[in-house]
Amino acid sequence: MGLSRGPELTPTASETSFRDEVICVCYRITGAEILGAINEGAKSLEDLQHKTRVATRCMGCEVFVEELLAEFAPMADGSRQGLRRWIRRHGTWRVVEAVRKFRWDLRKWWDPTRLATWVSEEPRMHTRLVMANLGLPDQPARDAYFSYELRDEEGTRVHKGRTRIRPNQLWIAEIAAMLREAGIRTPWAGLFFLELPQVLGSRRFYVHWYNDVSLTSTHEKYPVSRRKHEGYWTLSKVVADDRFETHIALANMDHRPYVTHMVLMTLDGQVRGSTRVTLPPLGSVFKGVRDFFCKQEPNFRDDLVLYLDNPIQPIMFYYFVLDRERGAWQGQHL
Amino acid sequence: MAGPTSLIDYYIPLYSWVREGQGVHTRINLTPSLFSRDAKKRFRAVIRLYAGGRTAVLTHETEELGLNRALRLEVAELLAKAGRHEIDGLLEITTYRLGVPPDKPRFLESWCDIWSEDGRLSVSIPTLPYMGGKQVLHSKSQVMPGVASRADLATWVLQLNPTGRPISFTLTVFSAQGDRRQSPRLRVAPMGVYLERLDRVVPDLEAHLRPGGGFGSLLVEGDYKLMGYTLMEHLKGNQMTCLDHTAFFYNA
Repeated sequence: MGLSRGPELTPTASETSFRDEVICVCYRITGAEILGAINEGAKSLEDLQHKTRVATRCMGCEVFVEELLAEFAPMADGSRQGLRRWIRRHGTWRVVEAVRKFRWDLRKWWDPTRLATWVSEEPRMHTRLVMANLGLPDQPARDAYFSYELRDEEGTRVHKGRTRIRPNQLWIAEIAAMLREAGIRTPWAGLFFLELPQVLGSRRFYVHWYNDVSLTSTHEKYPVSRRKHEGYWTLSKVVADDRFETHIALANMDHRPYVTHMVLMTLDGQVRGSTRVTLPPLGSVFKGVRDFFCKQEPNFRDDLVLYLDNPIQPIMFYYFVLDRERGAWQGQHL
Repeated sequence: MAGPTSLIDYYIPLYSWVREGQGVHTRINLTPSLFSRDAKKRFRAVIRLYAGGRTAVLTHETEELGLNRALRLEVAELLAKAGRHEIDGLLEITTYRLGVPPDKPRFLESWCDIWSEDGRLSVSIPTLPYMGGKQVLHSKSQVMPGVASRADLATWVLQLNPTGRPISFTLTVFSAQGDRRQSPRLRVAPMGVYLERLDRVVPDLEAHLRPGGGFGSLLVEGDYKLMGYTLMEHLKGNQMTCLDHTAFFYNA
C-alpha cells in the first residue's frame, strides 16, 4: 500500500478509510494514530516508534511509515513556513486533498494555543481565573485576543465569549459571573477552554479555587494528546477520614470518550481497590475518593498510592484535600 | 555506596524545597510507576539535602524501587541520621536504574508534602528538573498571574537556586491596570532558598493592587534562571494551602 501521489491518484474508497486501517498489525496501530503522532510533532521514525510503538516489532510497516513521515512531517509542524515549504513541494491542490483525506485541522496554521482547566462553583468552592499579558524589555507585550468557552460535565458547551487583555494588564474572571451571564444555576462544574491565536509569551492563566477561609491555586494545562509518559499518574496524598478527604477532578480534553482505571495500592504493591472511570468527550467528573471506590477501602490508611492509567489521550487530573474542620481546600495538579 | 559506573547512568537531578523543624515537616514521595509499566525495571535514588552551601548536609541512598514499590521518606528521620533536626533548603533527587542506562524520560517525578503540626500549612510541591528535562522553568523570566495583597490574602515568593553560585533577581508587580512597582535587587545563595512575603519587599503593595481587587501579576527577572514558586496565605482563615510553580516566558 502506498500513499497517493500526483493527480492520477485521486483518493479511492480504500484510501479514504485510511484512518481506520491497521498499519502495524503487530500492535494494531491505525493510520489515524500515526497521523496523530505526526500531527503532534513526530519528525523521525524514532519519534513515531516512541510515541506509538509502530515499526518496533516485525518492521513490516517501516517503509510505509517512513513514506508517511517524508510526506507529512514537514507540513505538520504547525508553522506557516512549514506549510509554505510543503505547498512548494507538493502543490496547492495537495493541501485540499490532505484536508479531505486525512482530516487536517487547518486552524493549526493560525497558531492557536488551546489551554484548559477544570472549574467549579458551589457553596464550598468558587473559581477565579487570572491571566497576565506581560512584556519584557526586549519582547514588549501586544494586545492579547482570545476566545473561551465553558463545557458542562457531559461535555456540552454552555457558554462562550471573546475578550482582550491590554499589555501588562490582568484579566480576572469569576466563573460565578460567567454562569450568571449564561443563565446557569449553581452548583456547577465543568471545563473552561481558552483559545489564543498568538504565541504564549506570558499569557498563561492560573486558577484560584477559594472560599471564605482558604485559597488554593495552580495552572491550566495544554490539551495535547501525546503519550508523554508510559506509566501511570500517581497520587500519594490519598486520605479519607472524619476530618480529611481527597477529592479528584478528572477532565477529558479529548473529542473521544475517555476510559481509564484507577487503582489504590499500598507502598509495597498490594491492591486495595480499583474502579473504572468513563468520561464523555470534553466531559469531567469531581468526586471524593470514597465515592470513586464505592467504599471498597474503608480504611484509607497512610500508606496508599492512587494509580491512574495513562492512555494516549489528553486529560487533566487535579486533586483537592478538604479539611472539614477548617473548611479549607488544598489543591494541586498532577 | 554502590552506584552507577558512569555519569550517563544517572537520570537528571530533580529539585524541590524542603523544610523541617519548628513544627513544620516534609515528606518525600517517590513513585517510579509514573514513568514505567515494566515491573522488571528497578530503580534506586540518591537523596541529598542542601542548606545554603555547596556541600550536601545529608546524602541518603534509597532501597530498590519499582513499578509496584513506591517509597515515602520523612525528612525528620533522614536528618536524625545526620544528627540534625532542622533544615530550610533544597532537596536533590538523582535516580538511576539498576543494571541498565536510563530511558526516556530521563527523570522520575516525585513530590514533597510540606505541612505544619498546627494545621496552618499544607502544600504539595513537585520536584522538577532544573535543566535538560521537562521545560517547566527554563527562562530567566517567570510570571505568576494572580498574586495578591489585601486584608485577607498575602502572597509569598519562593525561589530555589540549584547552582553553585549566587543569583540575583528583581520582583516586579503589575497592577490589574498595568502599573508596575518593583523590589530592590534580591539574592539567592548557592544551593539556597529565598522565601519572603511579597508585600515586605515590594513597597506599598496593597495600595498598588487595590484597584484590581487586590490582585496583580508578578514578573521575576533573574540574572540566571531560578526555580520559582508562590505560596498564597489566607490571612482570615489562617491557612496556607497553595503552592505552585511560576510560568516561564514561552517564547522568550
